[in-house]
Amino acid sequence: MLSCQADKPEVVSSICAVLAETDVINMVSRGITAPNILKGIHLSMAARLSKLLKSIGATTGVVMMTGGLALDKGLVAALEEDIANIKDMKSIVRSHSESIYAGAIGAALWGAYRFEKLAARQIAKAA
Amino acid sequence: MTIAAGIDVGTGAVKAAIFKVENGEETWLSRSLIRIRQRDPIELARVAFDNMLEDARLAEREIDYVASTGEGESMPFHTGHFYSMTTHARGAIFLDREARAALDVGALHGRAISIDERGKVLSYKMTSQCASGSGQFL
Repeated sequence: MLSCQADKPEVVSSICAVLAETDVINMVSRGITAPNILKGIHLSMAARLSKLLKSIGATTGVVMMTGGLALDKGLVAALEEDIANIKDMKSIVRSHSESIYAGAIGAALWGAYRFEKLAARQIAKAA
Repeated sequence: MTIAAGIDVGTGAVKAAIFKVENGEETWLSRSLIRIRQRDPIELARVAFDNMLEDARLAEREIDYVASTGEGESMPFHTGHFYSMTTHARGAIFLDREARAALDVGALHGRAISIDERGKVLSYKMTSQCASGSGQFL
């Protein structure tokens, strides 16, 4: 992974994606290497994500990454790094090769659940 | 036996899955992933659904429930819609029984959801304002 080869990550703005993108363009013209730019983006996103996790009280136990960026090994590594640096956070970050499907899986399983519930109710009504 | 399809219409891609549930046992029959470039996402949802039907050798009438999530609420062929908070929570539990939180990072935003052992949502928090779009250019 490109981001894992970074030796001196360059931090990007974590306030706004548009600012971050401008930062990246500036870095490219300043001759900063791709791994360092990428790692910088990953670290700034990781900082935001670990803050989110902390705010919902997920400071221990397994955290499952879902969605498309769960496949981004650099981001997952940056998140692990960031969590390790936070004093009272011991969450274990996991990712899965099928993580991007999490929403679709959940929808199908909830759909099946609702269907079975409705079917059971209809049988009860008929009886 | 119940066969259900789940279609997750996102900002970057359409994700779809078909599951068979029999006596509490969940079997993943088919999946489809299409990136959204220029075409209408709802049209792509239909393509993804058709791809899965063909792949699993199923007819549309054999699907008991077509569930949409994400931006898929306006899909004309769905049976019902689920909020993406609940579907991601359930999906995370399916992928890893031990998961007690789901961290959904997609093209649109990052979102942390804390869940119980059955996949029920306990609380959640989303990235706010314009920081959300970072997944878009990564």
